[in-house]
Amino acid sequence: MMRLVSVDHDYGRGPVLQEISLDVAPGRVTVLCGPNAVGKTTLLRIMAGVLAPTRGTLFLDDRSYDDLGARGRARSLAFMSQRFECSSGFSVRRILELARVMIGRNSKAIERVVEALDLEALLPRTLATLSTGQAQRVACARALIQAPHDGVVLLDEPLASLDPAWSERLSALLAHRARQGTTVVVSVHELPVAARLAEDAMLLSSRSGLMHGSAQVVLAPEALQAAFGVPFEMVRTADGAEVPLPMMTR
Amino acid sequence: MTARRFSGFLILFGIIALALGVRVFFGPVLDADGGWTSEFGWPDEDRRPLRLGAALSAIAAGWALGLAGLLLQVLLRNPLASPWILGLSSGAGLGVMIVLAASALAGVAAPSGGALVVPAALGALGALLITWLLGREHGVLEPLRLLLVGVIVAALAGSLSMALQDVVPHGLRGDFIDWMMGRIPEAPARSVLAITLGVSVLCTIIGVRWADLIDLSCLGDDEARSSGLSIVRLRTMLFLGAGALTAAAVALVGPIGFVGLLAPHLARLLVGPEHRALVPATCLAGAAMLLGAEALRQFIDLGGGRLHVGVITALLGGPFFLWLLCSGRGWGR
Repeated sequence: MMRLVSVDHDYGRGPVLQEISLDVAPGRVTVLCGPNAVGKTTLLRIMAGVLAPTRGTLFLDDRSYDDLGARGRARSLAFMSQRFECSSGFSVRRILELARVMIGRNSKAIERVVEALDLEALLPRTLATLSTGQAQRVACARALIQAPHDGVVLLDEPLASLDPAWSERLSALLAHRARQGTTVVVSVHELPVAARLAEDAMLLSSRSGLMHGSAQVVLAPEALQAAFGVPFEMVRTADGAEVPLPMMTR
Repeated sequence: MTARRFSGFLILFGIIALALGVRVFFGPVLDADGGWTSEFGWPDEDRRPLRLGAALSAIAAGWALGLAGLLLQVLLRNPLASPWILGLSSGAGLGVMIVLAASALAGVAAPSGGALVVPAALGALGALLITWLLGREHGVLEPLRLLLVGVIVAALAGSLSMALQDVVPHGLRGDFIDWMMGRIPEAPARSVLAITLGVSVLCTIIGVRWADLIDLSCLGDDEARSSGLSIVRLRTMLFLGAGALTAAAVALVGPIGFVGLLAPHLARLLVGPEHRALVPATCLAGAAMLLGAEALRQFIDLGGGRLHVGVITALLGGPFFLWLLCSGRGWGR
Protein backbone atom coordinates (compact mmCIF):
# COMPACT_ATOMS: atom_id res chain seq x y z
CA MET A 1 0.00 0.00 0.00
CA MET A 2 1.16 3.53 -0.78
CA ARG A 3 0.99 6.05 2.06
CA LEU A 4 1.62 9.80 2.03
CA VAL A 5 2.19 11.53 5.36
CA SER A 6 1.97 15.34 5.67
CA VAL A 7 3.28 16.05 2.20
CA ASP A 8 3.86 19.70 1.25
CA HIS A 9 5.31 21.06 -1.94
CA ASP A 10 6.41 24.51 -2.94
CA TYR A 11 8.16 25.51 -6.18
CA GLY A 12 9.20 28.81 -4.58
CA ARG A 13 6.09 30.70 -5.70
CA GLY A 14 3.88 29.71 -2.79
CA PRO A 15 2.62 26.31 -1.67
CA VAL A 16 1.21 23.95 -4.31
CA LEU A 17 0.38 21.08 -2.00
CA GLN A 18 -0.24 21.38 1.73
CA GLU A 19 -0.55 18.67 4.38
CA ILE A 20 -1.48 15.87 2.00
CA SER A 21 -1.91 12.63 3.91
CA LEU A 22 -3.59 9.62 2.37
CA ASP A 23 -3.49 5.87 1.91
CA VAL A 24 -3.96 4.58 -1.62
CA ALA A 25 -5.94 1.35 -1.52
CA PRO A 26 -4.13 -1.54 -3.20
CA GLY A 27 -5.66 -3.37 -6.15
CA ARG A 28 -8.10 -0.61 -7.00
CA VAL A 29 -8.43 2.10 -9.63
CA THR A 30 -8.17 5.54 -8.07
CA VAL A 31 -8.74 8.59 -10.24
CA LEU A 32 -7.23 11.97 -9.46
CA CYS A 33 -9.37 14.93 -10.53
CA GLY A 34 -9.35 18.66 -9.96
CA PRO A 35 -9.22 22.05 -11.65
CA ASN A 36 -6.29 23.12 -13.82
CA ALA A 37 -3.01 24.08 -12.12
CA VAL A 38 -4.12 22.77 -8.74
CA GLY A 39 -1.15 20.40 -8.37
CA LYS A 40 -2.36 17.06 -9.77
CA THR A 41 0.80 16.48 -11.79
CA THR A 42 2.94 17.62 -8.86
CA LEU A 43 1.16 15.16 -6.57
CA LEU A 44 1.58 12.30 -9.05
CA ARG A 45 5.28 13.11 -9.58
CA ILE A 46 5.82 13.12 -5.82
CA MET A 47 3.95 9.81 -5.51
CA ALA A 48 6.16 8.43 -8.30
CA GLY A 49 9.32 9.49 -6.46
CA VAL A 50 10.58 11.64 -9.35
CA LEU A 51 10.00 14.87 -7.41
CA ALA A 52 11.08 15.24 -3.81
CA PRO A 53 8.41 16.92 -1.67
CA THR A 54 9.39 20.05 0.26
CA ARG A 55 8.17 18.28 3.40
CA GLY A 56 6.59 14.99 4.29
CA THR A 57 7.25 11.28 3.86
CA LEU A 58 6.06 8.62 1.45
CA PHE A 59 5.89 4.91 2.10
CA LEU A 60 5.39 1.91 -0.12
CA ASP A 61 4.44 -1.25 1.76
CA ASP A 62 5.64 0.37 5.01
CA ARG A 63 9.10 1.21 3.62
CA SER A 64 9.95 4.85 3.08
CA TYR A 65 10.88 6.00 -0.42
CA ASP A 66 14.36 6.93 0.81
CA ASP A 67 14.92 3.41 2.13
CA LEU A 68 13.73 1.85 -1.10
CA GLY A 69 15.99 3.94 -3.33
CA ALA A 70 15.35 4.64 -7.01
CA ARG A 71 15.80 1.06 -8.16
CA GLY A 72 13.80 -0.36 -5.28
CA ARG A 73 10.88 1.93 -6.08
CA ALA A 74 11.11 1.06 -9.78
CA ARG A 75 10.61 -2.62 -8.95
CA SER A 76 7.15 -1.88 -7.52
CA LEU A 77 6.07 1.43 -8.95
CA ALA A 78 5.80 2.76 -12.52
CA PHE A 79 4.95 6.23 -13.73
CA MET A 80 3.76 7.69 -17.02
CA SER A 81 4.36 11.42 -17.27
CA GLN A 82 2.02 13.76 -19.08
CA ARG A 83 4.64 14.82 -21.62
CA PHE A 84 6.45 11.73 -22.79
CA GLU A 85 9.19 12.42 -25.27
CA CYS A 86 12.19 10.66 -26.72
CA SER A 87 14.87 12.83 -28.25
CA SER A 88 17.02 10.08 -29.70
CA GLY A 89 15.03 8.38 -32.44
CA PHE A 90 14.64 5.02 -30.71
CA SER A 91 12.15 2.54 -32.10
CA VAL A 92 9.01 1.81 -30.10
CA ARG A 93 10.45 -1.67 -29.46
CA ARG A 94 13.55 -0.12 -27.83
CA ILE A 95 11.46 2.32 -25.79
CA LEU A 96 9.43 -0.57 -24.39
CA GLU A 97 12.56 -2.65 -23.67
CA LEU A 98 13.96 0.25 -21.66
CA ALA A 99 11.00 0.09 -19.27
CA ARG A 100 12.64 -2.75 -17.34
CA VAL A 101 16.30 -2.23 -18.13
CA MET A 102 17.14 -1.32 -14.50
CA ILE A 103 15.09 -4.02 -12.82
CA GLY A 104 15.43 -7.08 -15.05
CA ARG A 105 14.06 -7.73 -18.50
CA ASN A 106 10.72 -9.49 -18.92
CA SER A 107 9.87 -10.24 -22.53
CA LYS A 108 6.56 -11.87 -21.51
CA ALA A 109 5.42 -8.60 -19.90
CA ILE A 110 6.28 -6.73 -23.10
CA GLU A 111 4.41 -9.24 -25.27
CA ARG A 112 1.30 -9.08 -23.07
CA VAL A 113 1.11 -5.27 -23.07
CA VAL A 114 1.96 -4.97 -26.79
CA GLU A 115 -0.91 -7.31 -27.56
CA ALA A 116 -3.33 -5.58 -25.19
CA LEU A 117 -2.58 -2.13 -26.62
CA ASP A 118 -2.25 -3.36 -30.21
CA LEU A 119 1.27 -1.99 -30.64
CA GLU A 120 2.76 -4.79 -32.78
CA ALA A 121 2.67 -2.76 -36.01
CA LEU A 122 4.24 0.25 -34.29
CA LEU A 123 7.27 -1.59 -32.84
CA PRO A 124 9.76 -0.73 -35.61
CA ARG A 125 8.63 2.91 -35.88
CA THR A 126 10.15 5.89 -34.07
CA LEU A 127 8.15 8.07 -31.70
CA ALA A 128 8.44 11.07 -34.04
CA THR A 129 6.47 9.20 -36.72
CA LEU A 130 3.53 8.36 -34.43
CA SER A 131 0.35 10.33 -33.86
CA THR A 132 -0.17 11.86 -30.40
CA GLY A 133 -2.65 9.13 -29.49
CA GLN A 134 -0.30 6.36 -30.63
CA ALA A 135 2.57 7.93 -28.67
CA GLN A 136 0.30 8.07 -25.62
CA ARG A 137 -0.39 4.34 -25.93
CA VAL A 138 3.35 3.70 -26.10
CA ALA A 139 3.96 5.82 -22.99
CA CYS A 140 1.20 4.00 -21.16
CA ALA A 141 2.59 0.64 -22.30
CA ARG A 142 6.00 1.52 -20.78
CA ALA A 143 4.46 2.00 -17.36
CA LEU A 144 2.34 -1.16 -17.59
CA ILE A 145 5.36 -3.22 -18.65
CA GLN A 146 7.45 -1.91 -15.76
CA ALA A 147 4.96 -2.43 -12.95
CA PRO A 148 4.51 -5.94 -11.55
CA HIS A 149 0.99 -7.26 -11.11
CA ASP A 150 1.05 -6.49 -7.39
CA GLY A 151 2.69 -3.10 -7.95
CA VAL A 152 1.54 0.48 -8.47
CA VAL A 153 0.94 2.28 -11.77
CA LEU A 154 0.66 6.08 -11.77
CA LEU A 155 -0.59 7.56 -15.04
CA ASP A 156 -0.79 11.29 -15.69
CA GLU A 157 -3.59 11.98 -18.17
CA PRO A 158 -3.28 8.69 -20.08
CA LEU A 159 -6.63 9.15 -21.83
CA ALA A 160 -6.13 12.76 -22.89
CA SER A 161 -5.22 12.17 -26.55
CA LEU A 162 -7.05 8.92 -27.16
CA ASP A 163 -10.12 8.54 -29.32
CA PRO A 164 -13.27 7.25 -27.54
CA ALA A 165 -12.68 3.66 -28.64
CA TRP A 166 -9.12 3.60 -27.32
CA SER A 167 -10.12 5.50 -24.20
CA GLU A 168 -12.65 2.77 -23.47
CA ARG A 169 -10.18 0.00 -24.29
CA LEU A 170 -7.44 1.45 -22.07
CA SER A 171 -9.91 2.02 -19.25
CA ALA A 172 -10.93 -1.63 -19.49
CA LEU A 173 -7.29 -2.70 -19.45
CA LEU A 174 -6.58 -0.61 -16.32
CA ALA A 175 -9.63 -2.09 -14.59
CA HIS A 176 -8.42 -5.56 -15.56
CA ARG A 177 -4.94 -4.85 -14.11
CA ALA A 178 -6.53 -3.62 -10.89
CA ARG A 179 -8.51 -6.86 -10.61
CA GLN A 180 -5.20 -8.73 -10.94
CA GLY A 181 -3.85 -6.81 -7.94
CA THR A 182 -2.22 -3.72 -9.46
CA THR A 183 -2.84 -0.39 -7.73
CA VAL A 184 -3.80 2.06 -10.47
CA VAL A 185 -3.79 5.82 -9.94
CA VAL A 186 -4.88 7.87 -12.96
CA SER A 187 -5.34 11.61 -13.36
CA VAL A 188 -8.29 12.33 -15.59
CA HIS A 189 -9.83 15.61 -16.74
CA GLU A 190 -13.05 14.25 -18.22
CA LEU A 191 -15.27 13.70 -15.20
CA PRO A 192 -17.70 11.30 -16.95
CA VAL A 193 -14.72 9.15 -17.95
CA ALA A 194 -13.33 9.40 -14.41
CA ALA A 195 -16.63 8.35 -12.87
CA ARG A 196 -16.91 5.30 -15.13
CA LEU A 197 -13.30 4.24 -14.49
CA ALA A 198 -12.93 4.94 -10.78
CA GLU A 199 -13.47 2.78 -7.75
CA ASP A 200 -11.85 5.40 -5.52
CA ALA A 201 -11.18 9.06 -6.25
CA MET A 202 -9.00 11.93 -5.11
CA LEU A 203 -10.36 15.41 -5.71
CA LEU A 204 -7.74 18.11 -5.37
CA SER A 205 -8.64 21.76 -5.30
CA SER A 206 -7.37 25.04 -3.93
CA ARG A 207 -10.85 25.70 -2.53
CA SER A 208 -11.44 22.50 -0.59
CA GLY A 209 -8.02 20.80 -0.36
CA LEU A 210 -7.84 17.07 -0.99
CA MET A 211 -10.89 14.82 -0.76
CA HIS A 212 -10.17 11.14 -0.92
CA GLY A 213 -12.49 8.17 -0.72
CA SER A 214 -15.05 6.19 -2.65
CA ALA A 215 -15.64 7.58 -6.15
CA GLN A 216 -19.38 7.79 -5.52
CA VAL A 217 -18.79 10.21 -2.65
CA VAL A 218 -15.85 12.20 -3.99
CA LEU A 219 -17.30 12.66 -7.48
CA ALA A 220 -20.75 13.63 -6.20
CA PRO A 221 -22.15 16.97 -7.49
CA GLU A 222 -21.75 18.75 -4.12
CA ALA A 223 -18.06 17.87 -3.81
CA LEU A 224 -17.38 18.76 -7.43
CA GLN A 225 -19.16 22.11 -7.04
CA ALA A 226 -17.01 22.88 -4.01
CA ALA A 227 -13.86 22.05 -5.98
CA PHE A 228 -14.65 23.61 -9.37
CA GLY A 229 -16.94 26.44 -8.27
CA VAL A 230 -19.72 25.56 -10.73
CA PRO A 231 -22.86 23.45 -10.19
CA PHE A 232 -22.82 19.78 -11.26
CA GLU A 233 -25.54 17.22 -11.77
CA MET A 234 -25.57 13.47 -12.31
CA VAL A 235 -26.63 12.41 -15.79
CA ARG A 236 -27.64 8.88 -16.78
CA THR A 237 -25.84 7.56 -19.88
CA ALA A 238 -27.27 5.16 -22.48
CA ASP A 239 -25.74 2.18 -20.69
CA GLY A 240 -27.33 3.18 -17.39
CA ALA A 241 -24.25 4.61 -15.68
CA GLU A 242 -24.57 7.89 -13.78
CA VAL A 243 -21.84 10.43 -14.49
CA PRO A 244 -21.32 14.01 -13.28
CA LEU A 245 -21.51 16.92 -15.73
CA PRO A 246 -21.35 20.67 -15.12
CA MET A 247 -24.86 22.09 -15.39
CA MET A 248 -23.74 24.89 -17.69
CA THR A 249 -22.86 22.42 -20.46
CA ARG A 250 -26.51 21.29 -20.78
CA MET B 1 24.50 -7.29 -35.02
CA THR B 2 22.10 -5.94 -37.63
CA ALA B 3 23.14 -5.53 -41.28
CA ARG B 4 22.93 -1.75 -40.88
CA ARG B 5 25.29 -1.70 -37.95
CA PHE B 6 27.69 -4.14 -39.59
CA SER B 7 27.90 -2.04 -42.76
CA GLY B 8 28.23 1.12 -40.67
CA PHE B 9 31.22 -0.21 -38.76
CA LEU B 10 32.70 -1.56 -42.01
CA ILE B 11 32.49 1.91 -43.60
CA LEU B 12 34.15 3.55 -40.58
CA PHE B 13 36.97 0.99 -40.46
CA GLY B 14 37.38 1.41 -44.23
CA ILE B 15 37.76 5.21 -43.95
CA ILE B 16 40.29 4.84 -41.13
CA ALA B 17 42.32 2.26 -43.08
CA LEU B 18 42.33 4.44 -46.19
CA ALA B 19 43.25 7.61 -44.31
CA LEU B 20 45.94 5.77 -42.35
CA GLY B 21 47.45 4.48 -45.59
CA VAL B 22 47.47 7.95 -47.11
CA ARG B 23 48.95 9.60 -44.01
CA VAL B 24 51.73 7.04 -43.66
CA PHE B 25 52.58 6.50 -47.34
CA PHE B 26 52.11 10.05 -48.60
CA GLY B 27 53.77 13.21 -47.40
CA PRO B 28 55.61 16.38 -48.30
CA VAL B 29 59.41 16.34 -48.46
CA LEU B 30 61.94 19.09 -49.09
CA ASP B 31 63.41 18.99 -52.57
CA ALA B 32 66.95 20.00 -53.54
CA ASP B 33 65.86 23.61 -54.19
CA GLY B 34 64.45 24.01 -50.70
CA GLY B 35 60.83 23.79 -51.89
CA TRP B 36 58.22 21.23 -50.90
CA THR B 37 57.31 18.30 -53.06
CA SER B 38 55.16 15.25 -52.39
CA GLU B 39 56.34 11.69 -52.28
CA PHE B 40 54.42 8.43 -52.13
CA GLY B 41 55.80 5.22 -50.70
CA TRP B 42 56.88 3.48 -47.51
CA PRO B 43 58.68 6.24 -45.56
CA ASP B 44 62.32 5.96 -44.63
CA GLU B 45 63.46 5.48 -41.05
CA ASP B 46 63.57 9.23 -40.35
CA ARG B 47 60.06 9.97 -41.56
CA ARG B 48 58.33 6.77 -40.46
CA PRO B 49 58.03 7.60 -36.73
CA LEU B 50 56.85 11.13 -37.60
CA ARG B 51 54.08 9.94 -39.89
CA LEU B 52 53.02 7.15 -37.55
CA GLY B 53 53.13 9.63 -34.65
CA ALA B 54 50.86 12.04 -36.53
CA ALA B 55 48.47 9.25 -37.51
CA LEU B 56 48.28 7.93 -33.96
CA SER B 57 47.75 11.45 -32.57
CA ALA B 58 44.93 12.09 -35.05
CA ILE B 59 43.26 8.77 -34.16
CA ALA B 60 43.56 9.38 -30.39
CA ALA B 61 42.37 13.00 -30.52
CA GLY B 62 39.54 12.24 -32.98
CA TRP B 63 38.40 9.33 -30.83
CA ALA B 64 38.42 11.50 -27.69
CA LEU B 65 36.70 14.49 -29.33
CA GLY B 66 34.02 12.35 -30.97
CA LEU B 67 33.15 10.54 -27.75
CA ALA B 68 33.22 13.79 -25.75
CA GLY B 69 30.74 15.28 -28.25
CA LEU B 70 28.40 12.31 -27.91
CA LEU B 71 28.48 12.38 -24.10
CA LEU B 72 27.74 16.12 -24.13
CA GLN B 73 24.89 15.78 -26.61
CA VAL B 74 23.30 13.24 -24.24
CA LEU B 75 24.06 15.31 -21.13
CA LEU B 76 22.81 18.62 -22.54
CA ARG B 77 20.07 17.03 -24.66
CA ASN B 78 21.24 19.22 -27.47
CA PRO B 79 22.34 18.02 -30.90
CA LEU B 80 24.48 21.14 -31.24
CA ALA B 81 26.55 20.32 -28.19
CA SER B 82 30.25 19.84 -28.81
CA PRO B 83 33.34 19.72 -26.59
CA TRP B 84 33.77 23.49 -26.94
CA ILE B 85 30.41 24.26 -25.44
CA LEU B 86 31.66 23.87 -21.86
CA GLY B 87 34.32 26.52 -22.44
CA LEU B 88 37.14 23.99 -22.38
CA SER B 89 38.89 25.12 -25.54
CA SER B 90 38.70 28.77 -24.49
CA GLY B 91 40.00 27.79 -21.06
CA ALA B 92 42.86 25.89 -22.69
CA GLY B 93 43.58 28.92 -24.90
CA LEU B 94 43.63 31.17 -21.85
CA GLY B 95 46.02 28.79 -20.10
CA VAL B 96 48.39 28.99 -23.08
CA MET B 97 48.05 32.77 -23.31
CA ILE B 98 48.75 33.27 -19.60
CA VAL B 99 52.01 31.33 -19.92
CA LEU B 100 53.02 33.27 -23.04
CA ALA B 101 52.19 36.62 -21.37
CA ALA B 102 53.94 35.65 -18.13
CA SER B 103 57.10 34.65 -19.96
CA ALA B 104 57.01 37.92 -21.95
CA LEU B 105 56.61 39.99 -18.78
CA ALA B 106 59.34 38.04 -16.99
CA GLY B 107 61.64 38.43 -19.98
CA VAL B 108 62.27 34.70 -20.33
CA ALA B 109 61.98 32.55 -23.45
CA ALA B 110 58.38 31.57 -24.10
CA PRO B 111 57.59 27.86 -24.31
CA SER B 112 56.35 26.51 -27.61
CA GLY B 113 55.14 23.31 -29.23
CA GLY B 114 54.85 20.41 -26.79
CA ALA B 115 55.65 22.64 -23.81
CA LEU B 116 52.24 24.31 -24.21
CA VAL B 117 50.53 21.02 -23.36
CA VAL B 118 50.59 21.62 -19.60
CA PRO B 119 49.06 25.14 -19.56
CA ALA B 120 46.49 24.03 -22.15
CA ALA B 121 45.43 21.07 -20.03
CA LEU B 122 45.36 23.16 -16.84
CA GLY B 123 43.31 25.88 -18.56
CA ALA B 124 40.81 23.29 -19.84
CA LEU B 125 40.50 21.66 -16.44
CA GLY B 126 40.06 25.08 -14.77
CA ALA B 127 37.20 25.92 -17.13
CA LEU B 128 35.72 22.47 -16.46
CA LEU B 129 35.83 23.05 -12.70
CA ILE B 130 34.12 26.45 -12.94
CA THR B 131 31.42 25.06 -15.26
CA TRP B 132 30.90 22.15 -12.89
CA LEU B 133 30.56 24.35 -9.82
CA LEU B 134 28.18 26.84 -11.41
CA GLY B 135 26.25 24.43 -13.63
CA ARG B 136 24.52 22.66 -10.74
CA GLU B 137 21.16 23.38 -9.21
CA HIS B 138 20.32 21.76 -5.87
CA GLY B 139 23.36 19.53 -6.34
CA VAL B 140 22.25 18.24 -9.76
CA LEU B 141 23.83 19.23 -13.08
CA GLU B 142 21.05 20.95 -14.99
CA PRO B 143 21.46 20.77 -18.80
CA LEU B 144 20.26 24.30 -19.63
CA ARG B 145 22.17 25.91 -16.77
CA LEU B 146 25.30 23.97 -17.71
CA LEU B 147 24.97 25.09 -21.32
CA LEU B 148 24.61 28.76 -20.37
CA VAL B 149 27.47 28.65 -17.86
CA GLY B 150 29.67 26.97 -20.49
CA VAL B 151 28.90 29.68 -23.04
CA ILE B 152 29.71 32.42 -20.51
CA VAL B 153 32.94 30.73 -19.36
CA ALA B 154 33.98 30.38 -23.02
CA ALA B 155 33.23 34.06 -23.70
CA LEU B 156 35.09 35.25 -20.60
CA ALA B 157 38.14 33.07 -21.25
CA GLY B 158 38.17 34.18 -24.90
CA SER B 159 38.02 37.85 -23.90
CA LEU B 160 40.82 37.45 -21.35
CA SER B 161 42.97 35.74 -24.00
CA MET B 162 42.35 38.65 -26.37
CA ALA B 163 43.26 41.14 -23.64
CA LEU B 164 46.51 39.30 -22.88
CA GLN B 165 47.50 39.39 -26.55
CA ASP B 166 48.40 43.06 -26.08
CA VAL B 167 50.94 42.06 -23.43
CA VAL B 168 52.88 39.56 -25.53
CA PRO B 169 55.28 40.42 -28.38
CA HIS B 170 53.99 40.12 -31.93
CA GLY B 171 55.81 36.85 -32.64
CA LEU B 172 54.20 35.10 -29.69
CA ARG B 173 50.80 36.23 -30.86
CA GLY B 174 51.49 34.24 -34.02
CA ASP B 175 52.36 31.19 -31.91
CA PHE B 176 49.09 31.58 -30.01
CA ILE B 177 47.00 31.87 -33.18
CA ASP B 178 48.85 28.91 -34.66
CA TRP B 179 48.06 26.85 -31.55
CA MET B 180 44.41 27.94 -31.57
CA MET B 181 43.96 26.62 -35.12
CA GLY B 182 44.87 23.11 -34.04
CA ARG B 183 47.74 21.00 -35.27
CA ILE B 184 48.38 17.26 -35.29
CA PRO B 185 51.85 16.78 -33.79
CA GLU B 186 54.23 14.52 -35.68
CA ALA B 187 56.24 13.93 -32.52
CA PRO B 188 53.64 14.00 -29.76
CA ALA B 189 54.69 13.92 -26.13
CA ARG B 190 54.38 10.24 -25.28
CA SER B 191 52.80 10.92 -21.91
CA VAL B 192 50.07 13.12 -23.44
CA LEU B 193 49.39 10.58 -26.20
CA ALA B 194 49.23 7.77 -23.63
CA ILE B 195 46.86 9.79 -21.40
CA THR B 196 44.59 10.64 -24.34
CA LEU B 197 44.45 7.01 -25.46
CA GLY B 198 44.00 5.76 -21.89
CA VAL B 199 41.16 8.19 -21.11
CA SER B 200 39.53 7.38 -24.45
CA VAL B 201 39.66 3.61 -23.92
CA LEU B 202 38.38 3.90 -20.34
CA CYS B 203 35.49 6.20 -21.30
CA THR B 204 34.58 3.97 -24.24
CA ILE B 205 34.42 0.89 -22.01
CA ILE B 206 32.29 2.72 -19.44
CA GLY B 207 30.11 4.19 -22.22
CA VAL B 208 29.40 0.74 -23.70
CA ARG B 209 28.76 -0.79 -20.25
CA TRP B 210 26.37 2.07 -19.40
CA ALA B 211 24.78 2.17 -22.86
CA ASP B 212 21.36 1.05 -21.59
CA LEU B 213 21.41 3.73 -18.88
CA ILE B 214 22.34 6.39 -21.41
CA ASP B 215 19.49 5.18 -23.65
CA LEU B 216 17.13 5.37 -20.69
CA SER B 217 18.19 8.93 -19.87
CA CYS B 218 17.13 9.95 -23.41
CA LEU B 219 13.49 9.24 -22.51
CA GLY B 220 13.33 12.27 -20.20
CA ASP B 221 14.08 12.83 -16.52
CA ASP B 222 10.77 11.64 -15.09
CA GLU B 223 10.69 8.44 -17.15
CA ALA B 224 14.34 7.71 -16.41
CA ARG B 225 14.00 8.35 -12.66
CA SER B 226 10.81 6.34 -12.36
CA SER B 227 12.53 3.47 -14.18
CA GLY B 228 15.16 3.41 -11.44
CA LEU B 229 17.97 5.49 -12.96
CA SER B 230 20.08 7.79 -10.79
CA ILE B 231 20.17 10.91 -12.96
CA VAL B 232 22.68 12.62 -10.66
CA ARG B 233 25.21 9.81 -10.98
CA LEU B 234 24.79 9.45 -14.73
CA ARG B 235 25.10 13.19 -15.41
CA THR B 236 28.19 13.43 -13.22
CA MET B 237 29.83 10.58 -15.13
CA LEU B 238 28.89 12.09 -18.51
CA PHE B 239 30.26 15.48 -17.48
CA LEU B 240 33.52 14.16 -16.04
CA GLY B 241 34.03 11.81 -18.99
CA ALA B 242 33.43 14.56 -21.56
CA GLY B 243 35.67 16.96 -19.62
CA ALA B 244 38.57 14.52 -19.29
CA LEU B 245 38.34 13.51 -22.97
CA THR B 246 38.29 17.12 -24.16
CA ALA B 247 41.11 18.25 -21.88
CA ALA B 248 43.30 15.34 -23.08
CA ALA B 249 42.49 16.00 -26.76
CA VAL B 250 43.13 19.76 -26.45
CA ALA B 251 46.45 19.10 -24.75
CA LEU B 252 47.41 16.77 -27.61
CA VAL B 253 46.26 18.65 -30.72
CA GLY B 254 44.91 22.03 -29.60
CA PRO B 255 41.33 23.16 -30.13
CA ILE B 256 40.09 21.44 -33.30
CA GLY B 257 36.47 22.15 -34.08
CA PHE B 258 33.62 20.19 -35.67
CA VAL B 259 34.90 16.67 -34.92
CA GLY B 260 33.08 16.50 -31.58
CA LEU B 261 29.96 18.01 -33.09
CA LEU B 262 29.78 15.87 -36.20
CA ALA B 263 31.19 12.47 -35.25
CA PRO B 264 28.09 11.50 -33.19
CA HIS B 265 25.79 12.56 -36.04
CA LEU B 266 27.80 10.59 -38.62
CA ALA B 267 27.84 7.53 -36.36
CA ARG B 268 24.10 7.83 -35.67
CA LEU B 269 23.49 7.93 -39.41
CA LEU B 270 25.52 4.74 -39.91
CA VAL B 271 24.59 2.54 -36.92
CA GLY B 272 21.41 4.03 -35.45
CA PRO B 273 20.63 5.74 -32.15
CA GLU B 274 21.22 2.96 -29.58
CA HIS B 275 24.30 3.75 -27.53
CA ARG B 276 25.63 0.18 -27.30
CA ALA B 277 26.61 0.57 -30.96
CA LEU B 278 26.68 4.36 -31.09
CA VAL B 279 29.45 4.80 -28.49
CA PRO B 280 32.09 2.72 -30.33
CA ALA B 281 30.86 3.95 -33.71
CA THR B 282 31.28 7.57 -32.59
CA CYS B 283 34.83 6.86 -31.44
CA LEU B 284 35.59 5.40 -34.88
CA ALA B 285 33.81 8.27 -36.64
CA GLY B 286 35.85 10.84 -34.69
CA ALA B 287 39.09 9.03 -35.48
CA ALA B 288 38.09 8.65 -39.15
CA MET B 289 37.21 12.35 -39.46
CA LEU B 290 40.37 13.71 -37.90
CA LEU B 291 42.69 11.18 -39.55
CA GLY B 292 40.89 11.77 -42.85
CA ALA B 293 41.34 15.54 -42.52
CA GLU B 294 44.99 15.06 -41.58
CA ALA B 295 45.50 12.80 -44.62
CA LEU B 296 43.75 15.30 -46.89
CA ARG B 297 45.93 18.06 -45.49
CA GLN B 298 48.96 16.41 -47.08
CA PHE B 299 47.57 17.27 -50.52
CA ILE B 300 46.71 20.91 -49.88
CA ASP B 301 49.35 23.61 -49.91
CA LEU B 302 48.11 27.14 -50.48
CA GLY B 303 51.63 28.49 -50.92
CA GLY B 304 52.31 29.34 -47.30
CA GLY B 305 52.56 25.74 -46.15
CA ARG B 306 50.14 22.94 -45.43
CA LEU B 307 46.70 23.93 -44.19
CA HIS B 308 45.94 23.58 -40.50
CA VAL B 309 43.90 20.46 -39.87
CA GLY B 310 41.33 22.52 -37.93
CA VAL B 311 40.60 24.52 -41.10
CA ILE B 312 39.93 21.33 -43.05
CA THR B 313 37.63 19.84 -40.38
CA ALA B 314 35.65 23.10 -40.36
CA LEU B 315 35.51 23.39 -44.16
CA LEU B 316 34.30 19.80 -44.57
CA GLY B 317 32.29 19.60 -41.35
CA GLY B 318 30.20 22.71 -41.93
CA PRO B 319 28.64 21.60 -45.23
CA PHE B 320 28.18 18.06 -43.87
CA PHE B 321 26.27 19.38 -40.88
CA LEU B 322 24.11 21.58 -43.12
CA TRP B 323 23.37 18.55 -45.30
CA LEU B 324 22.33 16.57 -42.21
CA LEU B 325 20.09 19.42 -41.16
CA CYS B 326 18.47 19.99 -44.57
CA SER B 327 18.03 16.29 -45.39
CA GLY B 328 16.27 15.66 -42.07
CA ARG B 329 18.66 12.84 -41.16
CA GLY B 330 19.75 14.43 -37.93
CA TRP B 331 19.09 13.77 -34.29
CA GLY B 332 15.98 11.91 -33.28
CA ARG B 333 14.58 11.27 -36.76
